[in-house]
Amino acid sequence: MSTLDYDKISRYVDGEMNAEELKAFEEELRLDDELRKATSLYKEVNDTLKYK
Amino acid sequence: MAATTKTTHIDQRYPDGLLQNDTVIVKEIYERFSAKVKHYVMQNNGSEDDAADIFQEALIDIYQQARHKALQLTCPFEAFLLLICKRKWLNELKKRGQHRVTSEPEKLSNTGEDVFALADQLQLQEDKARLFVAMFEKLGGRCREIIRWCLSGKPQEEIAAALDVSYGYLRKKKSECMADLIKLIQSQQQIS
Repeated sequence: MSTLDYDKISRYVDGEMNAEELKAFEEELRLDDELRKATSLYKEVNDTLKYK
Repeated sequence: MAATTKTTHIDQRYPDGLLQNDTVIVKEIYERFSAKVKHYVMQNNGSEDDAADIFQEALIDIYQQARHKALQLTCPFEAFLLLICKRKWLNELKKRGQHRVTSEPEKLSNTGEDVFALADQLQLQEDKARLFVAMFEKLGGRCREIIRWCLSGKPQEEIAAALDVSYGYLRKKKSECMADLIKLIQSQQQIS
């Protein structure tokens, strides 16, 4: 498994990125399946645990 | 997201009512449907209390689904609710080691595919949530603490102050802890 940048994922999901970073990250998401999967799981876990 | 041609059932007002904690609708749900669940559970080795528990749990599941997954009801609410209750009760019987069930849960009148699809979706969601929580419990104490705080909805500056760490450190720890959690979950999902 390649190393994913969870710091970025975390900042993306938490809305901590500036416009420029956001644009670059969304481009990465578009190209990288693994990153996309991890990001969507991150979001799901975040949302699910919030209400448990 | 793919466009859907399915139309929302008029019974959507029930999950919507649960979501908005509309007391009139919640009361209506109890009045209209709880007797059927009670009947089913009591016909199948359960007590009145069991039936009440199952009914309550099913409503919570539906509420969660409406709240977080924008549940769109494409079938009658009654069929959906009864199927969820029946499945829950069957699971409970299994847990108690009793398999004898006199009436089959899937034999419902006027049950379309949508009922099963929706009920499956709800079940899947519950299983996932259970896995997430189980894996969360496996994390170290510090990670659990940090994630719990971060999900509290409080401003992160406030959380950093409460934990007596810098904002940068909090962000770093949060992403590390979440990374551990995601990896734990992924390893489980690969097995199953």
